Amino acid sequence: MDRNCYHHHCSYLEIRWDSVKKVILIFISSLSGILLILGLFFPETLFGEIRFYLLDWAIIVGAIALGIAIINLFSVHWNKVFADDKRDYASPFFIVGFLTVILIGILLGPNDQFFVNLTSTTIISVEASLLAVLALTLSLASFRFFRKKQNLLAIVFGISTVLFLLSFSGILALGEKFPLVRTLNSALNALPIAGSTGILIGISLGAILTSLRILFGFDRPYGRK
Amino acid sequence: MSNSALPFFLMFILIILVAGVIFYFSPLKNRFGIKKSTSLINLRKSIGLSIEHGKGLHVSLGKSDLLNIHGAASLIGLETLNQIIDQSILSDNHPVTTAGSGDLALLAQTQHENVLNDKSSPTTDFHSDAYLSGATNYSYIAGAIPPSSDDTLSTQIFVGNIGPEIGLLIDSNNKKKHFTLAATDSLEGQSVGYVCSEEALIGEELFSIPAQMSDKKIFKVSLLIQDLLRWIVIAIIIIVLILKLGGIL
Repeated sequence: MDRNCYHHHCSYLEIRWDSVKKVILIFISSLSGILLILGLFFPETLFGEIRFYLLDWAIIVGAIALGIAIINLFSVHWNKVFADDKRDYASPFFIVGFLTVILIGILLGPNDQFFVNLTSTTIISVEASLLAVLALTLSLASFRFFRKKQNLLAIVFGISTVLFLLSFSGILALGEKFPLVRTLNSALNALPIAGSTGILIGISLGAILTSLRILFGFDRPYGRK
Repeated sequence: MSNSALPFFLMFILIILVAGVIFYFSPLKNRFGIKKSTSLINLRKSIGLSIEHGKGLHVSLGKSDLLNIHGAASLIGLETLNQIIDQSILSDNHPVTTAGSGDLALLAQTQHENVLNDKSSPTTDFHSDAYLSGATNYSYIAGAIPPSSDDTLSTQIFVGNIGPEIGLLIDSNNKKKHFTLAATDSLEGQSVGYVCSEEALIGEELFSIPAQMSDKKIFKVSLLIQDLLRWIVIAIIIIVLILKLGGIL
């Protein structure tokens, strides 16, 4: 009985401690959010300085998080090499590449020309090949697109793609001396700007509201409710 | 931000806060319903089927960290992950999460850890459920391709900041006939997502995911304010246009 009571007491304390942790977390995040906003609007005051320090801390924490995440990535691939199931054959290549770069970087220093050349050549060649694959993939996807989607939006999308490909190729610029073609050309060029501006306004409104929701502590996507 | 724009931005924030308080505490919000997106209805169905068939889920949170302008999309990605984890809590197959930034990867791990704690699961290996797949744009994509072409998967969700390189990930999904939802704040990413994937969210639809997937009042209020602000912006554009045509501005 005593033991049970002891257990109940323990779980009660645990629940309370969890709530306290949540309250502290909400308090710290809301306070930092409000201080950041005040620093933005009153940059010449103490809030401006606090904002500067808070952003500095955030950058340092972000850099440390990246370091931890890279170590975790290494451990994930290490486990995949020795896993009984779902063995990934790309993982040994990752581990060898990772260790090679780390060792050369430590031995020669990050500013050594050989190290800089080695890393940039690897990154550029891999990214270029991925871009080439992407170009092929997108060309194929655009052919498959009309087979997959047959609605009004898809037709408008297809027509506008062809139209703007022609427009950006400069073929319509040949008739620039005719006022009608010139007007048509400028109207055509204004369309994508108008469309993308509209989408960007929507995205900005959504981003502002999401940020405010989190800055004031109304929503915490980084923690579980 | 230039100093002349600051008062306008402050006014903007005040409008948001006042509208938020009015919507949150008054029954006004009940008069407006949220139009359900078919893409998100299909996503929920697909998650349900994945759990039923014991198949896996892959969530990719994009490449942006929380400190830059695309951080809001990453936060939406985290919120979506939270909802997906909640839905798939009974699944034998844990969802796998990949991210392109360190802070996002660690926050996603926290979500996975919490689920294991909620389920009182004996396994503590949440480190391989959520991880950084690469630190640069293309290394992130290259690292996310192997988990997204896994045969045991059936649903893939890309939410966050992902550029046109999203095409490579979606292509590997299409070959395996997985359900794919692409939601990114990048314009190029959206157009590639629209062409390549089964379901894609365009424009600010990305920011409506939390309201569509959860019943929380704050998300509904946030979406209503977003709509209200959009109408205000439209009204301002039309007024300025009329004033310009009239030669007043």
